[in-house]
Amino acid sequence: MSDMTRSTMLTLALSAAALLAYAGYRVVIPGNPPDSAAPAGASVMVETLPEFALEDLNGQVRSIHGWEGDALLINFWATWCAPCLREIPLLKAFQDGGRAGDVQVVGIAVDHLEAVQAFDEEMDFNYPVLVGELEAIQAAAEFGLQFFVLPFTVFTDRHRRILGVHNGELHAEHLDEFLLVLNELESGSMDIDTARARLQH
Amino acid sequence: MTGATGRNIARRLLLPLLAVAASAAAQFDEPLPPEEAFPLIAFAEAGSVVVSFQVPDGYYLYRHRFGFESLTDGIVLGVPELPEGRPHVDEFFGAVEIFRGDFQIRIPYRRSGTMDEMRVRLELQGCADIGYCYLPVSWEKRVRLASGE
Repeated sequence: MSDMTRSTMLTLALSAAALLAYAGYRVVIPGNPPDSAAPAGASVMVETLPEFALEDLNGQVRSIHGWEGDALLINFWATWCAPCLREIPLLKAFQDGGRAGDVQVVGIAVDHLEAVQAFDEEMDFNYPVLVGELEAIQAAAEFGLQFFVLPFTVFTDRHRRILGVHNGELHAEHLDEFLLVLNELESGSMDIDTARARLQH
Repeated sequence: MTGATGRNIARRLLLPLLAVAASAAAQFDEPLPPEEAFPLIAFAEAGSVVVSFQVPDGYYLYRHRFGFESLTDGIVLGVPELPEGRPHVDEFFGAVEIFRGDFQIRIPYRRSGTMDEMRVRLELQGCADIGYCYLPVSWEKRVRLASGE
């Protein structure tokens, strides 16, 4: 299948998803002109991790709640998104280097399974990657987003409370801040509201 | 005021207003909704559909991600005429071409009927310099056609 055909199919799929399951993602709703007034903002509207499940690279369906007892760093990305690819080595080092502690990184690729599998051969992910096209968009919609950009990262504590989100490329200081906030939250020296305020990038 | 004059005035006013709103939002580093990141208007002129963009600073569109399709029976689109873009070397995808700021794309059309309006589907995809990208979007626009077009 050519790139153009795949792109067109994905775009059409996004349109269908918008109509069926993601009314807030207005960009692909036919008949809603892009020059109409639109509320801005991609902020997360929910406070706890929503339930959704997606296939991993082996085709096994996994719930996002499947990493019991771990805080989560959930990273939405795509193979065609340069800033997404730039941050993957950082996430691998974070997961691999012992810095993450009880934090589990979970990638969610908004992409074609074959493209992500091919990319995995080069990248050799050391954290689980879930994949979906419409399904991944619907998963992002579960966070209450009006729209989202990639990469997009959600930080939770081990109780599945959403502490913050980050739109765009992650840098080391974002991960440092996440760990610091988690530690203070766990030790009781920081309350949840303060933690959320600290991680609203 | 004629309909055409009204449309021209609206055309001149609308995009600058959108650009001002986009600039204000950009100050807070909050991602703009895609329709504000890539504001456009579409109109017919001299046998072509003209899609006019006014992309705010810090945002860009990929040349190879544009797509155009007529959704109106009896109207066929020709080969889009894109201006020369800016070369952009992507560390992962190599040399590509991007568009920033103000630019227009002209798509000639052929009409076999008396319809005075057409629907066109536009596909596009772009990113922001600050370090994020938008999903490919598919927007539908209605374009009024003059009787003599």
